Amino acid sequence: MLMQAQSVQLNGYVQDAASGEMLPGATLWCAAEAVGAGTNAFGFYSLALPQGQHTLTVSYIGYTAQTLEVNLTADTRLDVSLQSGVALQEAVVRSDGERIEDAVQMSRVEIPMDQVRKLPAIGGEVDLLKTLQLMPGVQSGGEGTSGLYVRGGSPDQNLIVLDGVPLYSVSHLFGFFSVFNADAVKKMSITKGGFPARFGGRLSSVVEVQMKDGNLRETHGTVNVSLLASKLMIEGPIVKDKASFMISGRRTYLDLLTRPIINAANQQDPSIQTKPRYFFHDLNGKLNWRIGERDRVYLSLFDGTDDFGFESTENLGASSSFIDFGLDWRNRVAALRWNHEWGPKLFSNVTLTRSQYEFNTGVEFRESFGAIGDTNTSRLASLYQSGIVDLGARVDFLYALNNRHSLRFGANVTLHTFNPGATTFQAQFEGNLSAIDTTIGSEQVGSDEHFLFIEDEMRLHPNLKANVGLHAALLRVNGTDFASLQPRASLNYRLPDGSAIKASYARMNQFVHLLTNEGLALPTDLWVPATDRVTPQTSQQWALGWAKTYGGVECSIEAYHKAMTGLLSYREGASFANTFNASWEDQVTQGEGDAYGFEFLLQKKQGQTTGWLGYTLSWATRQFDEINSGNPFPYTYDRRHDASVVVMHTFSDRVDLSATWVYGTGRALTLPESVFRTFAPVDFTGTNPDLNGTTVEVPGEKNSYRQSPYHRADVALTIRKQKQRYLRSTIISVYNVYNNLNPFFSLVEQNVDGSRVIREYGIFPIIPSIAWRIEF
Amino acid sequence: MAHRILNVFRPIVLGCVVLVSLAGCEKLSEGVVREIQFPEHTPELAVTFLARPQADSLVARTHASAGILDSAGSQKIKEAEYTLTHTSGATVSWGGQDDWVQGRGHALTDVDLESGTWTLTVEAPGYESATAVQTFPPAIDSVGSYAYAAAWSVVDSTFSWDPYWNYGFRSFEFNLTLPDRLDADDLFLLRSAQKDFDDEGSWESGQVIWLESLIEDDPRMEWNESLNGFLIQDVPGTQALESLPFEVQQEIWGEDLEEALDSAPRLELVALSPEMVLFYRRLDEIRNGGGGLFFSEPILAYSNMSSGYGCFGLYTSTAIDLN
Repeated sequence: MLMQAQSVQLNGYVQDAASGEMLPGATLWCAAEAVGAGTNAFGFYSLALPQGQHTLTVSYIGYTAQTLEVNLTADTRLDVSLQSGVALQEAVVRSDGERIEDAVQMSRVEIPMDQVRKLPAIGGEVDLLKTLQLMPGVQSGGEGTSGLYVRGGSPDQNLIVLDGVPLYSVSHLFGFFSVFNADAVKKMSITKGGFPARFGGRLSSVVEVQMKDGNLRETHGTVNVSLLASKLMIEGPIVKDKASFMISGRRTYLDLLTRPIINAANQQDPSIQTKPRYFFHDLNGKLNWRIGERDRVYLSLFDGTDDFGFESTENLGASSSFIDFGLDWRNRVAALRWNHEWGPKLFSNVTLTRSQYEFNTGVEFRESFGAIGDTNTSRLASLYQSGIVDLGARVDFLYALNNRHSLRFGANVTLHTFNPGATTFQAQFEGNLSAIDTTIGSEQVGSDEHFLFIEDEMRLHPNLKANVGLHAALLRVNGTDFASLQPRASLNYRLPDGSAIKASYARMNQFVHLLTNEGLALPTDLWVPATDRVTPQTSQQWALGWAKTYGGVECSIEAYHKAMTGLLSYREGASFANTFNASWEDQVTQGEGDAYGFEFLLQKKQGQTTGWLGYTLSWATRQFDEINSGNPFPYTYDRRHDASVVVMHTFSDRVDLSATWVYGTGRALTLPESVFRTFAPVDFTGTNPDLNGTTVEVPGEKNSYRQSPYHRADVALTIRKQKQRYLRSTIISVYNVYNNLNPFFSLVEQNVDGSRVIREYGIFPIIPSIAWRIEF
Repeated sequence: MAHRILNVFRPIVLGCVVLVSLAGCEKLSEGVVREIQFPEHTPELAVTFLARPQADSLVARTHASAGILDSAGSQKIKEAEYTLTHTSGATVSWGGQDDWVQGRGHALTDVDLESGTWTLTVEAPGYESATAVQTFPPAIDSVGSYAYAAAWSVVDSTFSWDPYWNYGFRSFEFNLTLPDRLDADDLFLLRSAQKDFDDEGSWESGQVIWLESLIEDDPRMEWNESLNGFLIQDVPGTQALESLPFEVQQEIWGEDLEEALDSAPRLELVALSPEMVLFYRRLDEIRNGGGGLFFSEPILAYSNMSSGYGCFGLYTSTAIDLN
C-alpha cells in the first residue's frame, strides 16, 4: 500500500529518431525495480514507478538501446527517440531490455523486418508469411506456398490482421506469394497460443502485420526489381512532424514478359489467336496525422488483385469461335483509427474497418457460323461469384493501474455479409431458341459478431506474473444466437537461476469457417458462417514452457495440447463444384481435431550473426463421423518432425549472407491403394442372369500415405553500395540449392506397358534469382 | 575492408555455385518427377451377393482385391464357398468350382429364402473369411396384397405412332406412393425393367426408355448410375413418400412395333436393405467423384463385410406395368 501511494506514472511514446515513426513492441526496463513496460501497437507506454531517481533502459530490436536517468517526483511524460542501428552504420546493435523470460506472453514470435528482408526468397520476392513458416509450430501448406498451419490448425484458423483489419485471403498466385509487401511493413509477429483476451475469432494463431506509418521528417523511398515483380514504396511528411504518408505498389510482369513470345506464336497461325494472362498487383497506403499531443489518426488502405485467364479466337472463313476464361480474386481493406491519450494511465484506440474478399470465375463462349452475310450467332456464359464483406468497429483501452496491474479492455462489433457462391448462366441463340438468364446457388447470409474483453497483466509476486482475461463473444445469424465465454490465462514464474517457467490456457471460438478441400487451397475456397445447421469452431489450448536468455541467445521450449471441435469439412466426394447448384450446408460435415507437440527455439536477434534454430515434434489428428468411416485420421499437415535453421551474417556494411535449411516429415495424403471387382444385377424381378460388373479403386485409410520428406536449403547474398543519393543493394539468391525434388502432388499413373506406378511431382527445382533494391 | 572480404569470399561463392550447378544439373535432367515405392497389398475377399427371397437363380461372386500397382487387377476366386445361415438355424451352402458359371459367378439356383435375418459367410483358401448380417426388408408389393404395398396411378399419357417409319413414342406421367413406416427406414429403388437400345437394340429394331423424376432436387431421391434407377428414401419421423411424380418415356422402332406396344412399359420397384443402399451410393460417389485428386475429398468404399470389400445385400421386389 505504501509503495502504491508513492508511485508515479511515467508515460509517453517511443519513436524512431530519424523518421519519427512509432516503435511498437519497444521495451522500457527498470532493472533496480525489476519492472518494465512495452509499447503498444501505437508506440505508447505507461509505467508506474516509485518516486525518486531511476535508471531506465529503452530498447527495440535493430536499434541502439538508450539508458536514461530520470528523477520522478510526479506523473511524467517522456517521449524517447531511438537511433536505428542501420542509420548509425553499426553492425552490432545490442539491447538490454526485456528478455524472453521476463514476458508473460508465451508462444509468441516476432521476426525483425530487417531480418525478413535479408532472407533468401524465391524469385527474389521476399515473403512475410514464408518467413513465419520457418518458426517452430508453423508449417507451410506445400512447396512454395504461403499458407500457415499453426499447431495442427488449418489456415482459416489464423487471424491475420493488417493494421487491425482481418484479411480473408492472404495469397497471390494461387498461394505461392502472400499479399504482404515487405517494403510497406513495419512489424510482424505471430502468436500461436496463450492468447490474451483481446484476441478472438480464430482458433490457432494471430498474425499481426503493421504497415509503416510514413516518415514524418524526410521523404524516402525504395525501389525493388526482381525477376517476378517490381515494387515501389515512397514515404514522407505531409506536414513535418505532424502528418505523413506511405504508399507502396507491387506488380508482377510475367504476362508482360511472355507477351512477345505469345504474339510470335500467334503469327504462326493467324486463324487462331490465344492470349493468356496472369498478373497480381497490390497497393498499400497509409496516412498518419498527429492532431495534437494526445491524439493521432491513421488511415490504412490495401488493395490486392489477382487476374488469371485466357482468350482464344478461332476464325474459319465466315465462322468464328471465341472463348474467354477468367478467374480473379481481390482483397480490399480499409481501417481508420483514432488514438487518444486520456491521461498518463489511460490510452484508447478506436478502429473502424472494412474488409472485402471476392472471388469470381467465369467463362464465355461465342460462336458464329454460316456463310458471309448470313451467319448465326450463339453465346453461352457463366459467372460464379463468392466472397465476404465485413464492416467493423472496435474500441480498445489500455489502463496502467499501477506497477502491479495493467488492464486492457474493449469491445468490437463486426457485420459480416457472406456470399457463399452463386452462379449466373446466360445463353443467347439466334433462331427459335429462347434466351436463358438465371442465377442459382447459395443465398447471401448476413450475420453480426460482437465481443467484449478484459485482461489484466499483473505482478502477483516478484517472481510471478500473470495475464488473466475473459473474452465474451456473440454471433447472430439467421435468428440463431451463438454465445461463448472464453477464459484466458498466462503465467510466468521466475526460477532462481533466472530462467522462467511459463504456462497458459486459452479457450477460443471461431464463428467463420473456410470451406476448402484438403488437397489444395485455392481462391475458390468459401468463407461461410456458423448457421443453425453448422456450429462454430472451438478450441482449448494448454501450453507449458521454459525460457532463458544465454548471452543474447533466447532459448525456449514449449509443449502444447490443442483440442478442437466444430471443424468443417466437405463430405467425402464433395468439392466447391458441388456448391454451384446446391447449398454448401448440404456438402459439409463437422468433426473434431486434436493436436499436441513440443517446440524448441534458439533465436539470436542481435549481433553480426543472427538467426534461429527451430524444431517441432508434433501430432495432429481429425475425426469426423462421416469421413473415413468415423475413424480418426492424421491431418494432412500432421508433421512429426519439422526443423529449420536460419543464419544471417553481416560481413560488413556492404555484404550480408543468409542461408536457410528446412526439413519436414512428408505430408499425409490419401491415395488409391487397391482395386476390387463388384457388380450390380441387371434384373431385380425376372430371370435375366446378366451382371453389370465394375472395377472399384479403393483409397486407403484417409491420409494414410506419406509423401517423401520435405527438405530444402536456400542462400542469399546481399551486396550494398552507397551512391551519392541512394543506397543500392544487389541480392543474389538461390532457392533449393541442392535441387531436392520436394513433392507437390502424387499421382497413380499407368505406363505404356500397362504397369502402374506412383509418381511424386515437384514444381520448384533449383531457382537462382537476382533482385535489386534502391533506397533513397 | 569490404573489398577484401569480397575477394576472400568470391572464390568460395563461385565454388559453391559451380558445385551446386553440377549437382543440380544431374537432377534437373531427371525432371521433377520421382517414382516411389508403395506398400505391398495383402489381397482380401471382395464379395458381392444380392439376394431376394425367391428366384430361379442368383449369383454370388468373389474376387481377390489387388494392389493399385498390380497390373493383373482383381481376379475372381472360383474356390470361394458361401454359407447362408438364418437365425432359425436354416442354412444354404453353395460355391466352389462346381457351382461356377462361366461369365457370371457362383450360381445359387431355386432360391427360396425365408424372411428375417441371414448371415453370409464366405471362405476361400488363403484368405481371411468374411461375414455379414442382413435382414430382409418387408416384401414389397404393387397390387396391395401385402401390408408393405406401393400404390401408383397414371396421371397422364401420350402416344404417337408413325407406321411409315415403324416408330412409336409414348409417355406416362404417374404418381407413386410408397410404404413409409414411422419406426423404420424405408429405402427403395425404382428402375426400368426393359433393356434399352444400348443393350440389345439395333438400327432395325429396338427401344429406349427414360425414367425421370418430375421434382427437381428432391432430397428424397437420387439417380444411381450403378443400379440404373432412382434410390428413394423416406424422411425420418414423417410419412413423406406419397404421390411422388415420375415420367416414363419410351421410344420404340422396328418391325415388331405393334407387338412391342401391346406390352406396357415395366418398372421394377425394389425395397432394399440400408447397407445395400450405402454400398451402391458410395460406388456412384467414387465413380463420379467431383473434380479429381485436388478438388474433392477422397471417398472410401463402403463394405458391410467383416473383412475385405463388397456387399451382402437383401431386397424384395415387384414389377409395375404402366398401362
